[in-house]
Amino acid sequence: MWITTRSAVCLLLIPAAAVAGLTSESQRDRDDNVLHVVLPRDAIPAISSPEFEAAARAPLADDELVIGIVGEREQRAYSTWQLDRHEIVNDTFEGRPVAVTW
Amino acid sequence: MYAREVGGQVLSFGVSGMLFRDGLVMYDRETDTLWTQVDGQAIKGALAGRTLEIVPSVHATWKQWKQLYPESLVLRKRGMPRSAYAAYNRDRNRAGILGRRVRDTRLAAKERIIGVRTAAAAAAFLEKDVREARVVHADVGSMPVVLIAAGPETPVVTFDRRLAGRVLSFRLAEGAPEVLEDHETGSRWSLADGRARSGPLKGAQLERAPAYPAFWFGWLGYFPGTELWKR
Repeated sequence: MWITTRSAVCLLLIPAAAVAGLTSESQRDRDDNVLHVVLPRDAIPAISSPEFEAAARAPLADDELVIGIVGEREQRAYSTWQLDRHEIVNDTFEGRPVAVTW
Repeated sequence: MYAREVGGQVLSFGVSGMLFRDGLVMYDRETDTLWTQVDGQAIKGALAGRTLEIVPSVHATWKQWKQLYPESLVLRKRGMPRSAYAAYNRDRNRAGILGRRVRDTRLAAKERIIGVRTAAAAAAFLEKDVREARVVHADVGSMPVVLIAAGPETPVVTFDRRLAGRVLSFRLAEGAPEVLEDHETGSRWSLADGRARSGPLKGAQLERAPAYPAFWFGWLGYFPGTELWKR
């Protein structure tokens, strides 16, 4: 999940001391428009050659959240638990290039 | 979900490792432009100022999804990971690493909402209220929308209510799960794909409205002027 996930990644990877400087109010206000580098580029690998399987055979849990796309002829789902580890899937759906983002 | 084509060029995105307002920042491999994932804006680089076109998506649990779309395909899973963020998602006191102050007190920071947006407007709907109401009609800016929670086992789906110059309103069809009926013509619509299956509008297609599940604080970071729907 975009907002929650990125935040959680930081919480997992950045020592508390590194964020202590962000606690004052004025600093927070400025931070609203700042790009924060928290990981190296591609440390979280996007998927660019996605592979699919039939829903009937897919090993997902009933409570697993998915993002889905519904087209004229086809429907595809992407597990957010899997997207937690990739964040982006570069896919092509019914001929249209799409980015599934989380 | 976004279209990857911008000005005739197909882009391929990667994870920049940066955050903007607690949200993921993507980069494209073709122009090295930075894009915010939440609202699809190019904020730095050759394509700065451009906006990605939204592709409306459905958000559901697996159980809900496969009931509506049993013939669908699923991104192949490697291993069987659980969510890496289950604990974070449950913790009401952790609202993002940057610690931005949430000045808006209409809802608690981590209330789960469904956000609907257009190019010019944004509205938030408390998910539990939508599930209780089951059918919600609202206007997001100039876009009349309907949010439908047919039952606990179906996802909340959101459609644009405009069809060929008229605005429709809906109810759940009695005794028929996953079927909608419009008040104006009595046509019956499939919840799964938004197509009219019978009645005067048979064959017509509703467009999905861009809707996403989010935490209230996250939505506010990008859409501070958002409206909040009240029951």
